[in-house]
Order: sequence, then C-alpha cells, then structure tokens
Amino acid sequence: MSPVTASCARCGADIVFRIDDAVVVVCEHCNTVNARTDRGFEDLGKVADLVDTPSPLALWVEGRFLGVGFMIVGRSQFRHPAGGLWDEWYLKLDDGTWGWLAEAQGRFYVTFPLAEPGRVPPLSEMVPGKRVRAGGGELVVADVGEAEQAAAEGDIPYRLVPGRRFMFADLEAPDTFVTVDYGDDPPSVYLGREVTLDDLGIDASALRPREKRVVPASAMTCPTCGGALELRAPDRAERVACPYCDALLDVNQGQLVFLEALRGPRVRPQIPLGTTGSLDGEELTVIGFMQRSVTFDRKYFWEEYLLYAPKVGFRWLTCSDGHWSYVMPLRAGDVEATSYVTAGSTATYDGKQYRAFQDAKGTVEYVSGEFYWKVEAGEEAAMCDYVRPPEMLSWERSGGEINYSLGTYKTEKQVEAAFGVDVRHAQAGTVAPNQPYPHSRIYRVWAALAGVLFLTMLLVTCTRDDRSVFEKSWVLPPQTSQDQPTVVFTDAFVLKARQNVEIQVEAPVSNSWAYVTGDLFAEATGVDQQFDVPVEYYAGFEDGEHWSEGSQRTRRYLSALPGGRYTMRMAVERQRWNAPLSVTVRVKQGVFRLRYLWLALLILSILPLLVGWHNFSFEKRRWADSDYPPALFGNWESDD
Amino acid sequence: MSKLVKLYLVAGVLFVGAFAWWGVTGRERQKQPRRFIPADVRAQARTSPGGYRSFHFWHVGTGGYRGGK
Repeated sequence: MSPVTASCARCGADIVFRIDDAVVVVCEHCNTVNARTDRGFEDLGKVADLVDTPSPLALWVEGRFLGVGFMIVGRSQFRHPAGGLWDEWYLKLDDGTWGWLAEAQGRFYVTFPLAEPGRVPPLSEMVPGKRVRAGGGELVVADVGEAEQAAAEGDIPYRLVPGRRFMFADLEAPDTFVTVDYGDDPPSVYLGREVTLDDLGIDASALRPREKRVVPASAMTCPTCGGALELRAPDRAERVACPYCDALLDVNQGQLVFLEALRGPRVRPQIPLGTTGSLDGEELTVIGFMQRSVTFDRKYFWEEYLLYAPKVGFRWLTCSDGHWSYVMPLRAGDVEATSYVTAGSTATYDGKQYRAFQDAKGTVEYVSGEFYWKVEAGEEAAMCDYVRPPEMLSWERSGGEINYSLGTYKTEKQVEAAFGVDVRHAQAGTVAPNQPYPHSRIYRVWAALAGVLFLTMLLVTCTRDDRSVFEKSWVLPPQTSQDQPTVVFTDAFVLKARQNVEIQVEAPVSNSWAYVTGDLFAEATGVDQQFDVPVEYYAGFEDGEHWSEGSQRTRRYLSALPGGRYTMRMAVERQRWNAPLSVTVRVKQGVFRLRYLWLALLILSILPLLVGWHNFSFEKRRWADSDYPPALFGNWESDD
Repeated sequence: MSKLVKLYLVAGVLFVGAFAWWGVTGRERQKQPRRFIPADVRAQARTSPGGYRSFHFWHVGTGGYRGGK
C-alpha cells in the first residue's frame, strides 16, 4: 500500500488514498465523495454525517479472517426500508482482495464479491421465505428491500454515489449468507457467512466499547404530554409509545418526534414495562408491550412483551389465553420451511421437525414502550406457526422481510417466578399450540421400568436351574370303590430353597377325568405342602368339526419350600374308577413363569394406558384450533 | 416431571422391587394349603412298619370331583 495524497475535489482539503485500488475516498472535512478517474478526481456528491451506531468496529482496525490478515479501511451506512441503519465495513485483505463486513442488529456478515455469480434470480423471484438458487447453493430469501446510501468514510472499493437507492436481497442458508445488489447491471452477488468478532481475529483492545448512545435529556420527555420516558435500549430504539398518553413517537437522531395518537382502549400489561427478570439464565428487561390480534370468526388477542439485555439482544415473551412462551429470533438460513403452508407442511430447525399449526394475518392493536423497528398500530404481518411441544417455530412476513423465531412454552409459575409478578392464569381446559403434555414422561418411565422388569426376570431366570427333580410313571390298578382313591408314595427327592416347584401330572384320560390330591412333605421338618391336580380331557366331533377341551397334562405351581428331602403322597381318583390308569408325575424347580412377566407388565401399564387416553384427549383439544390438524385429530364434524 | 409421573415412578420402582423379590424367593401366585405334620405323628411314622402310609393324616380328596364337562 502506498498512500496517494490529493486534494478534495470540492473543498480542496487533503484527501489520502491509502489503498491502491480504492475507487473513492470520503473527504474527512466536507464529506465529499472523491472518485479517482483517469483525468483526476471527480466529486460524486456529499454524504451525510455518520450516525453514531453502537458498533465496536472502527477504521484501521486490523484482524485476521480464515488465516488472512486484513485492515478495515472504509465504511458506509445504509438506510433500511424498515427504518434504521446498517453499517458496511470494507476490509482490505493481505492477499489484495476486498471483503465486505456488514453489521446489523449486532450481527456480522463477511462477504466477498463473486466474479462469476452465474444465474441470479430476478428480483421478482425474491419473495421472503422462498428458497432460491444463488451463489452456487440453495438459500432462503430473508430480506428484500430498497437501501439508500446515506453516509460513508475512508477508502471505498466501488463507485459510491451519495443518496443512491438500490434494491437488494439477503439470502441465508446454514453457514452461508448471500447479498444480491440489484443496483448493478447485472446484479452483483456477494457470498459469505455470518461471523462473530472472534472469527474476525480482532484484538479486543482495538474494539470500541459498546457504549449506549447518549440521548439528550430533553428527548427523554414525551413531546406530547411531557411525561418522563426512560429508554432502556436507546441505541436500538426506533419507536417509542408513551405509556402516559399513548402517543407513538419516532426516534430520530436521538430526538423523539410525535407520529400519531394510538387509538383503541388502553391495555395494561401484566408485566409492567421496566420489570427485570431472569429466563433461561438470561437477565432481561421488559422494554415494550404489544397487543396483537388475529381474526377468524372473531378477533383473538394475545400479548407480546419485548425483552432486552445488551449482551443477549432482543427476546419476546408472548401470552395467549394465559399460556406463555419465551421467544428467541432465528436466522432465516437455519430454518427450512416453505413460504406457503398446506396441510401436513413441516418446518425444520436444528434437525428437528415442526408441524404446521396455523397461519393467519396478525395485526398490531396496541403498543407501549420502545421498539427496535418502526412499529405502527394496525401494522399487519402474515404469520405461520409450526409446533413441536414445548417449542413453536414461527415466521412473520411483512414488507420485504421475513423473521423466524423459536418459542418455548413457559408455565405461569415460571413467568411469575422470573419477573416477580402475578399473571393471569390459563383458562381451564385450554391447550396452547406448544403446551407440552404434562405427563408425557410417564412413557419413558414406563419403558425404563419395563426394561428393569425384563432384566430382573432375566436375572432371576439365569440364577434358576429349571431342573427336573423327580419323574416317575405308574400304572394304577382299578380303585376298590368309587370313593376310595388309589394312593401312591414317591421316593424321597431333594428340593432347593427359594425355587418354585412345578408338579406336572400326565394321564391318558379321554372324555373323562382324573383327580390327584397330593401332599409334598419333608420328614425332617414336618412341612406338608398340599396340592390338587385335576386332569381332564374331552374331545369329539360336532357339526363335522373336531373339538377338544382340557388336556391330558396338567401343571400346578407351588411357592418355594424350605430346602431338603421331600416325599410325595398322591391319592388318585378318576371317573373310570374300575379301570387301571397310567399316571406320570414330574416335579421341576426354578421354572420360568412368563405369565408373571406379562401380568407384571400389564399392572405396570395400567396408569400409562390411562395417561395415554388422557394424552389423546389433550392433543385433540390442542389441534381443535389448528388449521392443519393431523388426520387423527381432524375435524370430524360435517361442514354443514 | 409431573407429580403423577413421580408418583408412578416411585410406585413402579416399588412394584418392580417386589416383583424381583417375588421371583428371587420363588413365590407363586396361587396359595396352596401348607401345614406341619405334628411331631408325634412324625415320631410314630419312623417306627411304624408302614411308615407314613399307615396314617390318615393326609388331606382328603375332591369330595366328589366330577370333572369339568
């Protein structure tokens, strides 16, 4: 870089082109834009004085981006159609290229001009929320509008014309940011991404402290009623609604200018302006309040509280029917959503899918406090909500801008605890679109308990033998009389403690029965476990079909007995008492009882099943107000 | 976690614990009568030629079971 000193084409003061390929330099004395031409210097006109924005950046600050050093050598300020200004800083990189560093709402975007941008969608295709291809990728249109070149300083890499107005479109995708400047022919495309100050590698000592803009004391009173106004975000406020007289005031260069008197009934916010509270670990102050409405069969109102903290930026707290949500803004590029909603539409953010719930036109009914955009009573915006309780993803489109936000449901208690105020409670029976079902965790608890149950059963089964301890068959002689059972005693066998006992009796009965009355006793201890085992089997043909009932084998289960040697006595009666009967007896221990597992699972499932039924009714109420309910919760009533 | 879910969790843990205890101790749901053979019966049975077969101590049968069909 070899600085070239010249005289301002208008005032004659010294101007310095510090950068070889800078196209224009702004005179520090008279704000004239001097362009370097083949024939000397050309006066392109005067720019306005720079507005003191809260930017931490300044000219001649050095940094490093993606490993390449740079210096900030120029700056422009542009007016946004929605009001307010944004700064654009020009970076001269060590590799000789220029970079653009845009700064708006406390966010930074580094872009570089594309030499061969390829096909650029025409301006007519740039609809906020629409996905378009530009700069080599698919992006969502975040902002479309007309910018005005307002002020500038330093070395500028293009022919800056003061007061020049041009259409632009900002496009976003994850990790990508594109600006299309339709003021050039063909349109210029700048490709880059959002960055943090850390990404820019600027030494912290070189950054300007973010001081609040000093607002003159005279401007702190309402020009209409003289009421004292305390601006809590004076460096960001664009509009102030006087809480005393409902005058809507424009913030212009630190002065409050009367715009209009707000009509309609005054609405008292549940959380007074100026209240500070802590939500999700962020300390925020209520600086603005709005009442908005949508109209379906009638007007439905809800409240929005604008929260602010210098380190956090802006957040919202919304209240509809006593249901609260804490809302944070999202980058358009981080959300995948169609600009037009149909049944079953979804939006995606952070890998999560949100289901379309409602779209409507929202209207600002009442405002109070300060706002970072030029809010107006009656202002309308197309809105759409997608839900995934407890979250609600929303977009609002007004003018050429689309804003995405993510709301998280908060209970009244959470809001009351956060701000130390009493708020209206939700009407019983109402369900908010993003209200989480309070007992939904029961399903996870059920799954965990069922898992433990299975593991327990597995463990118990693994420690059991499921072993046969006795087996013997007899051919019993006919009974001496119908009332005299045949009695047999077994040899002694060993039973282990803490293991159930299965006694299985098998007899080839057919269309008859046998009945075993038994005693399992231990000589040593005198324990006598009694049991009865009926065996019956019936079969035949009826209407050409075979049928059967009962079984020739019956099992009985006994609770574990004290360990030791046992003998079994069995008295066998049967229907055909005067005929011999073959009987087989098996004794097993440590038998796995699947039936108990299912029974335990059933008992464990009773409450979750009831909760599931309640959950269904809850979801039905949620989706009753939706434009796009799932088929399961759809409107079953006929249209007439 | 709602109170209901907490309650369910506590009850569920107790239930699964009881189930585990039930399984470990080899319990069965159906209760069959259990008693003790008196000491004098056991003493006599040891010396009796027929052993326990001689006694009418055992529980009686169906009292007229006639099957299920």
